[in-house]
Amino acid sequence: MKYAARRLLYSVILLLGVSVFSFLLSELAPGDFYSEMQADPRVTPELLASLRARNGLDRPLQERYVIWLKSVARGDFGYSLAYQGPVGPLLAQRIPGTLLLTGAATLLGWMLSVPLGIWSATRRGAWPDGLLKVILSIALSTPELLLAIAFLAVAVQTGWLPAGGMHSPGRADFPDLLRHLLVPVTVLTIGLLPVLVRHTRSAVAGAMDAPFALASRAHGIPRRRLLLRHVLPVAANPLISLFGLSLGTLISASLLVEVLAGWPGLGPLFLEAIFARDFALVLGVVMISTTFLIGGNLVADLLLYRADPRIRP
Amino acid sequence: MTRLTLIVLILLHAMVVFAGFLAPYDYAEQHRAFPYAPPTRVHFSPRPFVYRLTAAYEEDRSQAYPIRFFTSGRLFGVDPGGFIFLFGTDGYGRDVCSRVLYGGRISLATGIVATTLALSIGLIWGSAAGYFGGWVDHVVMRGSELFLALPWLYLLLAVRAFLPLHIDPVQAFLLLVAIFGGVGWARPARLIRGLVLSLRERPYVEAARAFGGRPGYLIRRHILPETKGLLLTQATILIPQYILAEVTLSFLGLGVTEPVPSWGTMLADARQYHSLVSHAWMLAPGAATFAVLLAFVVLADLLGEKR
Amino acid sequence: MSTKPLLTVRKLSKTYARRLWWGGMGPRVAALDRVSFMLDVGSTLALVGPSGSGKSTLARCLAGLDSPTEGEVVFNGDRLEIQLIPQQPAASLNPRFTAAAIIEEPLVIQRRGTPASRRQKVASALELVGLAPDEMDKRSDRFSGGEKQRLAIARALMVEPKLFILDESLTGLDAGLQAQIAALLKELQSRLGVAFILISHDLDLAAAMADEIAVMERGRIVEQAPAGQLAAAPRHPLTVQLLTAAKALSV
Repeated sequence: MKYAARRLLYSVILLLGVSVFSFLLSELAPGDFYSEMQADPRVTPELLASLRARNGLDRPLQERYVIWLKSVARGDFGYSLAYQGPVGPLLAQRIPGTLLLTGAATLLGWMLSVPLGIWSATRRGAWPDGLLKVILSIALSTPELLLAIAFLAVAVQTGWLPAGGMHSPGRADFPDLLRHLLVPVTVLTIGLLPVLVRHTRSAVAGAMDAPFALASRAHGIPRRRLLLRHVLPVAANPLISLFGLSLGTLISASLLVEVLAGWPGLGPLFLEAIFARDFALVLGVVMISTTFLIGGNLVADLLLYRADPRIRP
Repeated sequence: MTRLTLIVLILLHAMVVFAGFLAPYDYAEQHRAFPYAPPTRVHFSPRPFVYRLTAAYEEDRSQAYPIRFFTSGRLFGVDPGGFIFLFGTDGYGRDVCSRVLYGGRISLATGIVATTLALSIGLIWGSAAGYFGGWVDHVVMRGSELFLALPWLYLLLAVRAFLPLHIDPVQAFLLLVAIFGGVGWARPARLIRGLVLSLRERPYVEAARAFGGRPGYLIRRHILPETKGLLLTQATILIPQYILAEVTLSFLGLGVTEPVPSWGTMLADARQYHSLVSHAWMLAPGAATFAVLLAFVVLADLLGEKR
Repeated sequence: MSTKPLLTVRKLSKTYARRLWWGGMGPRVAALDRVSFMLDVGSTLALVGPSGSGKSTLARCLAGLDSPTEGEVVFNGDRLEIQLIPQQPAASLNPRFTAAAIIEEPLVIQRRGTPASRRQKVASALELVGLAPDEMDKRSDRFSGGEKQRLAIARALMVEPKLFILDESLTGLDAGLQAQIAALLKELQSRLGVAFILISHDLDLAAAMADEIAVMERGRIVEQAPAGQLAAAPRHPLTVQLLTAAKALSV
């Protein structure tokens, strides 16, 4: 319990640190949301000044940070000047999309990679394993960008699958959702697989080569039982760590795939905010995505702590 | 095998460096009469030649254009009236093959320069943290954790977001390199820190210290040489990452912009799904990225197996 | 003796106490407890005792690698003239360095001499320790264990030390090698007049090489006497124990 509390505290501090960092970063921006307007001759400096004052853009740095932090604590993520509305609901609207996509990809990815990793670990050196390695290397080298474009082009051309969005107009049912989910999830999973399978294979192989496993084999314990009851629990440890480590890559990949497939997640929102120079929204998306990553790592750490008595003091 | 991969990589890099010589056309040269022309078929008689391209994109067998080598400062080309679009053309009639070669310059250069920057910064901070410990170590560790706490693409885009949107290509390149290097030092720094920490305790370092060796001498003479292996492995991992990052950012419109081509901007042009299947050659920059990445993946694997 | 002693150690103590997490101090452990002795120029003192008796701690304190919590060390020379040769000198040689680079390193660090003059000194040092000077450009990991011992000694000679502290340096070597290195050390002593502090748990070896022997237990010197006298008429029970053990082994 103490460990969980400490870890949670650490995560919160880290999140705070990121907030300071992002806020300072936003200060880098020469100009703000209204700067683009300066080019317009009809816009007078007084108008700009009053607009800025109205939205609190003229206060000193520390003040603005504290104001922002306090409102975030209340759940108010600021005001999106581009969308003319509070940032919070905008984020809340898109979070489920990203969660759904990354969740589905994680599920599919692990469902595929664990059996593949085990299969591969038990056939080390044989030609199927070699073939798998080659396929995985090719998958690893293929940018998700390319994959997504290619798949979507095929989808559009053949009409089998929709080319974007979460639902076809007028439909909100599950099968329709699945059809729209298929391409983005496949692309994300293909991106995940090489890393997952590689690490699963080495985790299982490592556990299989461990002295206790060899001893068990010598004692005549049948292979399947050995795998399930002895090897997997040991391999689970590095795999839980892997989950935490691959989370960052997954969230980043999801950004890109969402944008490509027009999937309504945080990705497209982020991009729009960047082009509109809507910094409140940009900050909001950064904080949310970071919260997911830190949260995911926290969960992984706590799972690790429970699963592995060795790391406890 | 390692040597072969290395040669392939060097070759690929050399090709884009010599784009001006290898490419038959300039990257901005438009042939408005021939948008989305398919790849020109090369025939051998046994000398290589192409047929004239009709407006309907068919071969006019009545007119042949032999491929001439070393003409007008380029490796190969055809006489006026003929066209040699090895990878077809894009919407403005620009030769895709030439643009892939020119565009590679930006992408590959970003990879190498950004990696050099990231590793340099990482080496400095990592060695300082590992050797001196104390508050330096503390600052470096907490700082790197901060950078690693954000999903990398969100971090890159966030930093990019807060900088001017419309910048010229040279500025864009420098900016990208600065961002990648300025953000990417975190993981290498931590790895180097760990290595330096263990190296510091080696008996021969202690012996040299006992003879009066100062930190600067010890780091330079005994510790840094041992980091070469780690730096090399990190380079094989980082360079392809930064190449991909440049392609991604340029694709999103946040990297290098027209008129300088980049594999990313070219892929953005390819983003017309309805027609893409009939213009599959527009994905050539994607194939080029794939080839480079594959070479790096293979190299990393081979180096990993070596130890 | 009318000449001033080379080394005087008075009431040298080193205590460790663990700092507890709330800031308080845990139980104190005395690694060295008021150790006192004197060493004359060109002589050899052996420190024997079981593991944990503080011998290595004493060696490190004398060599300046650790600092004592109490007491004083008076040495007739500067710190660099005390050289410590650890148990496995091979580890203290950078495997990627050539023999020449290793041996001349003390001079390089001290910025003494020119590359040419250093090379000369390396050659003579190699000769002194019985190695061929034309091997000096070989990488150190290409030398055998015994040769690495010699390289370490050669390196230590570069600063013209007055005192060598050999911390179990001869332990673990096969008998032939041990004899060789012991002979080398004796020769160095007679040629250069260096003093030795030999740390060992092997009483036989100590008796063979030392003028005086001090027996340590739990951080204290419990008995100290000239070698012959100690062997013939031991007074402390530990000494007796060590003598019997040595005799039993050297059948």
